[in-house]
Amino acid sequence: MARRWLDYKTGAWVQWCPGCGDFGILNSIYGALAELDIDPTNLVVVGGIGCSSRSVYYIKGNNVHTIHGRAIPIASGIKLANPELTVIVTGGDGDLLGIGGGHFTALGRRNIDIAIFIYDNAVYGLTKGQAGPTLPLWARTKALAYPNIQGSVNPLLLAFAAGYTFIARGYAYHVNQLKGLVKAAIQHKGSAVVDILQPCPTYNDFMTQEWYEKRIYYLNEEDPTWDPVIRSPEDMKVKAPRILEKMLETGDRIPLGIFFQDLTKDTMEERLEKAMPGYLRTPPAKRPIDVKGRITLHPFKIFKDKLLET
Amino acid sequence: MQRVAEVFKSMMSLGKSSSCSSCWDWLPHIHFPFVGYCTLWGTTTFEDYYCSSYKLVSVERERFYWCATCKVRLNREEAVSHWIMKHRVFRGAYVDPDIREELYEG
Amino acid sequence: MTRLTIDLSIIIGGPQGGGVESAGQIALKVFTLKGYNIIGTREYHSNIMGAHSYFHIRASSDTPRALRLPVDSLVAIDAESVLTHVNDVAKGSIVVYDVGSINQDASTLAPMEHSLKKRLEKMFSERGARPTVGEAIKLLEERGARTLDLPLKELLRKVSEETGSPLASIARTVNIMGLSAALYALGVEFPYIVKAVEAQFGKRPKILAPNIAAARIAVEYTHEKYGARNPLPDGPHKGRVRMIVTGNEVVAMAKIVGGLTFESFYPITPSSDEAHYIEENKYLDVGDVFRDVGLDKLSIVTLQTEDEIAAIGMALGAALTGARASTTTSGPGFSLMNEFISMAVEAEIPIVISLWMRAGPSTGIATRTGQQDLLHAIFSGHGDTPKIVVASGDHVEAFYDAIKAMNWAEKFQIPVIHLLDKYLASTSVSLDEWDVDPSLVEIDRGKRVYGPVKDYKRYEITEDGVSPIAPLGFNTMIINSLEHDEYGFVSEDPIDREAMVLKRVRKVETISKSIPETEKALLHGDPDAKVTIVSFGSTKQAILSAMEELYREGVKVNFLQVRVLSPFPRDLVSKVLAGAEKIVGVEANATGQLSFLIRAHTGYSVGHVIQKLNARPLYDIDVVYGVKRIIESGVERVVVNSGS
Repeated sequence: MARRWLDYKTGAWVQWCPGCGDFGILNSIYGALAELDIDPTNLVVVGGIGCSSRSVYYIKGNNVHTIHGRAIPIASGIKLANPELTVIVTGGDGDLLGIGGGHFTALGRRNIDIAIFIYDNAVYGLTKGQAGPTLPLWARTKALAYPNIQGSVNPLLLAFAAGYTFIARGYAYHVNQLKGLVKAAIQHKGSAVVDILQPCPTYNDFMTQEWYEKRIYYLNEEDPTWDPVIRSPEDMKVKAPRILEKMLETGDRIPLGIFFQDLTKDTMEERLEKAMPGYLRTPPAKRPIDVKGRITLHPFKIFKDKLLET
Repeated sequence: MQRVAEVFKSMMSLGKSSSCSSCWDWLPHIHFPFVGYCTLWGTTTFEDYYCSSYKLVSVERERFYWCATCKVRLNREEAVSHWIMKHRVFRGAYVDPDIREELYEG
Repeated sequence: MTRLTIDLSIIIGGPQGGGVESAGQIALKVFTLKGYNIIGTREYHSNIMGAHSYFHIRASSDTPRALRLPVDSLVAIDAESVLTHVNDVAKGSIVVYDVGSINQDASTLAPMEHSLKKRLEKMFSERGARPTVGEAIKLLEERGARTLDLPLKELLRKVSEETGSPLASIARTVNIMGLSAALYALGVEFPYIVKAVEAQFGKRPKILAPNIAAARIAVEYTHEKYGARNPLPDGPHKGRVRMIVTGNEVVAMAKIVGGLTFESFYPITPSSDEAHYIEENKYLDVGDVFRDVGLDKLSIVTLQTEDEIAAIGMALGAALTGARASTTTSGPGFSLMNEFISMAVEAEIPIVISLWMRAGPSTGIATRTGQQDLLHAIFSGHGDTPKIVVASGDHVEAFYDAIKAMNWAEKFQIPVIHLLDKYLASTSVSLDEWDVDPSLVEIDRGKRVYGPVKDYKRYEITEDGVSPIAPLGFNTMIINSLEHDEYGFVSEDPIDREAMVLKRVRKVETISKSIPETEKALLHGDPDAKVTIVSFGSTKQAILSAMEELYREGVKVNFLQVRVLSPFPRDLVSKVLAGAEKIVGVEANATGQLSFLIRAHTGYSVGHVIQKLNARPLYDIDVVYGVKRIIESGVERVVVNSGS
């Protein structure tokens, strides 16, 4: 019996502002989870702090509302300790790329099988609209007394440099297309990131729905031969320049879709299995640690490098 | 390896002023500079050994040097000044290959 | 017939990377093989190579509780070691030095600390001399030391010629010569030295051969110079298997046998060696112990993270899935962990943090010891954040505490901070099989529920404050760092809020009731003594050793060791202090952190303190001196400062 999107909806009141892009993202996630038929008891949604991180209350799962910027370490620990769980992270650009930027980079290096959804509205909504790390230089939103004098980070290039093996960009109000990207990110084996552009009607009066919709287009619609999948080192050499060119494209035209998917890299779970065969069968969450409450290992029996016979 | 060392030893004599301790090819041990490593012969020698391949150390080349007096690596300009002060300047220092096992987390 | 008590202390000095570590390990092995108990610590600069370091060892037929100064032998192969330790040497002790270093002057020793140079200049100028090795040797001889001048270069030449092999590890060979000379002069027979060197390098014949030769050549030289020595009698601990471990290693072992399955960490001195030892043993062959469950290898995920925030964060994530998880750090890293500690309290996640204290504030002295993070540990985390803080007094306690800490974390769903320090981290001791017997501790995972639970409430309000805990993956729920209702849903409702705060505080009472009194605090010595020392952590053995000495001198003191610092054992401590005429705090911090806690919880003020602030280990002589000063003069604060 396949699941429906309603199977993932909780009874909690969704407290986002009317017109918030978060609704679109939430609906895309519901849809993707239903189509993937993921058991909510096997699903873990980890949020940081911010409007978007509250998604943990609206999706049925074993969810964790953490602290600001730290969803990724918690999610990583969960996934490595129990690789059977489906783990996704929801957070804003400020949470994941600002305060949590170090963890965002580190996850790419590890390629743990986690999907990261950046609710990217370029502002700090919950704290009254301060500039987020993706707000362009000199942009002035209504909450700012002066134009922004800090430059913006490019989440896609950052993810690429860090080693993410799935990199996509979506748009919050295109629920259907976004659902496809969310699904692909969850299905991807490895660290996946979807940068989701979304207007914040309350605080970002610069990057509005109109502003976005004038600029966005889909990679595979413009170029039906667009193929972001890397299957070999050769592929990487051939495709990387075009991928990077598209990642760099900003200003009047903003491309959406899957930019990059690298199938050549091991996930960290696979690396651990290689280093310690049996890890996947009895990962930290499931490994027996005692025999009926007794400790049956004695240091003198196992740490022989420290023993000396007198 | 042992044969190389023997041949090498037969060519050496002690007590010459032009000994390993002022030879270009010799790296004094980082901590105990009376013994060192001859890069030419690939073996340990003492500062007072001598061989016919002796070549006086100099600070002419643009490169890094090692001052065994100050236990510090020098650029050429610094090396010249240490040389003038009659410090023991070499082109490098010998570090035990297994030194890692003797080091602490710091 | 009275048993002959043998009690020997040695300092082996040298530059970092100069072979001191191997020499120290070999010395520990020699005396263990001879049947003695040993303790030995490494003291070093925060430096990769070149700065002065030393290994300080004590071997005794009794239990050497603490390191002892002055020492019976100084192995000082380089000039800096002779000069640095010139005041650490006892009358009649054996000082081994390199005859080639005799003219070296402190002022020319590049790595030596400027202040030490100045002190030496002053000390020697009062004698009308320069601070040279030669003058230091003269001074040592005047003070009754027996000096042994090794012609190092000639001896090393002999080793090189004899073994015919190039000396790959020169520093190591040199130090083994120095050590062997000292050991022989102390009466250790050559075969024991050989056995210890073999135990150290046995699996590496290329290193073994030159080092055995070096030991023999040094021993032959010493024999010629000193003649035959009276052999050192065998100690009482022969004929069994013993273990030599550091504090870092014993905690790692405890975690492994105690069921740790996940440790994330960020490198920081002096905690890293704990994580490294776990990493070395992360895939452990356990034979048929777990055969019933189909396991012959135990795997532990150990991961070096991008910072300490991620280190604790990942461990918390792992703990949520049901894994036994911990992290390890020191003061600066612990500062970074603070916010997550607060989250662990609010979200009720079991976590063990091994906190290896070092000398702060800030980066302070990264490689030296101190007890400055007691209050930091107790008050870590914003908001009301009850937690358990337990401090181990020695290696044996550290072993059991590390296992209990994991039990407590899971049982009470709370962060447990295991307070240790750099002194314990890098101090080795000899242990017997019965010293580290994990069967004395059961594994207790508390109210754990596996499988689906109808209407599961992660934060169910219970009488003892502890809710049934289900790992992720069986139900749907919210684990929350925000205030929440019983299901974990965010809630700012005043009734919910108050109930949750009180629930978390109730756990403190539950913890206080559950932990046996003897594990919370221990009174050592005569309960009727008029002077009571109060202390915590690694000062324990130095204090016990000092008490023995004080007792011999007719000074009766007892010692209250506070083991669990949070929740504070108020009644127990009050009861002991009620009978004390003089209360003397012993702490390696300047602000009197334990005194503060005692005053706050019991109302008793600690009238006198002995403080060790030079970032060196506490020695028994420090305590003896401090107690006597306080008794004689009634002074409030004595700062003690032995150690180089």
